[in-house]
Amino acid sequence: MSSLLEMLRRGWRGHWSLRIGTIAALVFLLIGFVSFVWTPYPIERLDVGSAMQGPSLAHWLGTDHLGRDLVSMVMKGTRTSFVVAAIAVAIGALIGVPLGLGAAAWGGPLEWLILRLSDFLFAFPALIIAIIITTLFGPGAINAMIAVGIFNIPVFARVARGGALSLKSLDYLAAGRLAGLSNWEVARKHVLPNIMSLIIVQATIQLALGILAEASLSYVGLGTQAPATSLGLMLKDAQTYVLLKPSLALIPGLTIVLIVIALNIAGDGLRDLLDPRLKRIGALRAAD
Amino acid sequence: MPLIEVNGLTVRFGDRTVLDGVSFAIDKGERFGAIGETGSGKTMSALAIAGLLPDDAQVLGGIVFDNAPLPTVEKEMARLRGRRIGFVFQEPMSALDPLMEVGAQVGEALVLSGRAKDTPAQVRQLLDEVGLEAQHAQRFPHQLSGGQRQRVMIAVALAGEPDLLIADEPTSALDLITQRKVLDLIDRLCASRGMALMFISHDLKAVAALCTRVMVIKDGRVVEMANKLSIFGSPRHDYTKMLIAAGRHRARTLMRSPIGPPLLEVKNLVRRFRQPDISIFEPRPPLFAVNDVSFVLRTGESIALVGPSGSGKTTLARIIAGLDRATKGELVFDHQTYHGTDLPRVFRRDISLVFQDPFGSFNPRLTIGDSVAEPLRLEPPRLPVDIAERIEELVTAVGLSPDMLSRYPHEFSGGQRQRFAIARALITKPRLVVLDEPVSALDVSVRGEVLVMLNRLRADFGLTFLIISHDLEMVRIVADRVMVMDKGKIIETGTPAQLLEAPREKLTQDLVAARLPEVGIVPAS
Repeated sequence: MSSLLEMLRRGWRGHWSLRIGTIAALVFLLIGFVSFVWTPYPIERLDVGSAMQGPSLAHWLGTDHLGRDLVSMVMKGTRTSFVVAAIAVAIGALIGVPLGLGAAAWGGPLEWLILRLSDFLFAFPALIIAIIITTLFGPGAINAMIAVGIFNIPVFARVARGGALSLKSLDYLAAGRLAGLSNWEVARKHVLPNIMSLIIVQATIQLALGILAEASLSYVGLGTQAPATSLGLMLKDAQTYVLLKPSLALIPGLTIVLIVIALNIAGDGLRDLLDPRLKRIGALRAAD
Repeated sequence: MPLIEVNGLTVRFGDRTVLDGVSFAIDKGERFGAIGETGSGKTMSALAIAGLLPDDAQVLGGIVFDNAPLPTVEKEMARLRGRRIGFVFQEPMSALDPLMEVGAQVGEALVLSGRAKDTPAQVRQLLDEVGLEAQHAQRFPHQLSGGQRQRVMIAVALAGEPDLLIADEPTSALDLITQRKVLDLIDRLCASRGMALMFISHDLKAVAALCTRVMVIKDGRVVEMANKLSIFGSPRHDYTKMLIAAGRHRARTLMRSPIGPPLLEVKNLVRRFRQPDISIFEPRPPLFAVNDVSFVLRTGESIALVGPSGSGKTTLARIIAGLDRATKGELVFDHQTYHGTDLPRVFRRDISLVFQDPFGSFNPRLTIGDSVAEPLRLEPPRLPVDIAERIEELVTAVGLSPDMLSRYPHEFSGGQRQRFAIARALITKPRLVVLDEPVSALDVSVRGEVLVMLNRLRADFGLTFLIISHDLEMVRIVADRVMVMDKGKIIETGTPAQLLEAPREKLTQDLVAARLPEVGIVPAS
């Protein structure tokens, strides 16, 4: 892992997109996580008397139709989005990566089964899976995480399998097997560390997709439920008042867009940095 | 009037200098060789001429091509590359487009160079010129052998009828017979077309066979440049002398343990691979990688398995080491019968394998020490002190220092890595060591050292060797007996001297004939 960190440190200087993307994403993450300990106003307290206010010193971004402070809402909403997306990525990676490694290591019927299962999951858009799950188990943030997480499983399985297959003919895997390592030990000791960069890059991209998916689910009412809030739920609430006060929809909407763009830029930068294949293509193109 | 003149060429990447004030000139129709070890900068000088240096390279000095400085505009440079400079790369598989028929790739080169008139006919003619048949035009790169791919690369390079052909180690990925054929082809083409040649290699013999003037590069500097006869006949620089001396491997007779009872018996071994069908109506017959092979390897003996690439040598080695399973037949190791992957775990420590490619055989994320110690898990657990002692003993035995163990593989040269790979193979004190082309990925200058070391280790540890190689010359030093393998069968067996002097089979004769002549007269050191 030390060489991975070193590579990151070296690349940090050269890659503007990586820097901008990572810093922006970290800022949003910070904003979200500060809300665990502090928000300007508690969002559970409704104050209809001060509803629909414009920006002021007391309320920097104004208040919504129930008098809740928009800064606090955005902070809490960002947090919910990140937590849901992160747990969904964790579900996808923790189940998908071992499946992909297993498929590559054993091959044969197991690989066929895993690939067909992932095809099956890919056939349904995330939203459809989420609707099925939430109709079965009821709407809520946890079920949204599970739904998006299930959608992530085949993505990670494919990435892990592809990475593992590209390493399969390398002699150090054979050396590991000669040293008496089982298929599983070879995958864990020799394959996983070498495809970690691929997985990290995929995780950033899935994080962005997860935030978008959470927002859509909450927007159709299948995700986070009041009194908790998320960026998607804020959009949904703002829908009714969008002509009256457009900033109610614009603020959470822009936040979503900015987070997703930041994560995607960071992901692209990471990929350029970590994936030697792309780097070589880039160098060849530059030489042409 | 030289065709190309390089004056004080300096190439830097950041603060690392790859080429330092290199000057040379190549006349029209001249054959110019550049010799140096891996990392000496010989490839960089060729890339600089072709304007193919990576973007982050800082270039100083001038290159004059046919009385005009190299264009700085990429578009003009590309035209120059297409029409006047042909480039043949080291690894033809990665230089060809895997998704394009090779005929189309030759045609593309014709069109881009503006010389396409009747493209199909011209492609046919070019393929014919490099010794390929018209039907090969419809194949994809992966359907051709390494030698055929390199011929396609040469055809692509010839498409623009260049004045200068740059060949960057064009044969180092090929086996001996193919190497000789490709060298002869380049030789013939240069003569018939009157092309100038810049031939880059670490193999002195190949350069000597092809070139008339030679430049020796070390660490980015030209250490010696003269015509072939004086470079190889009376080298002035110590480095050149060293290279020439390293090119000839001296066999040393060492005390060996006497040859004992049979250690490994291979009985009628067959390994079949299913081939993808051409279509559902045309199944393809299975490929017999190893076809009814039998031999006996005695304790303390060293047998070499020689043959061209694709002859099944590596498959046989992998079955013996327990990485692959035989379709039919069996192996007996010390009274234990097995068929490959079912080698019992207690015997795993007795048979070890050294891989061909020292760059792929170490996990880049593990320290060398961890990789070398990995096979020790096959032994009963021992005290860390004992393990450290064992590693130290072996690392010293392969001529390296134990304090290198905490470093990562990328910090070492190919020769050093191969030494570590040998240390890893010996760490469990195996009885049989299978070496799959142990030196073919290494520079010629370090091959000799590694072979001599293998000989010494064999004597010191009382090892039994099965060495796989495509090079008879190399095998002479380390093997007691040689088996020649072709298309999965062993076709001839004998001592190295017998085979070199009186080869019976056609393939053996080809192998012997493919040897390049020795170079230079080196005073005994």
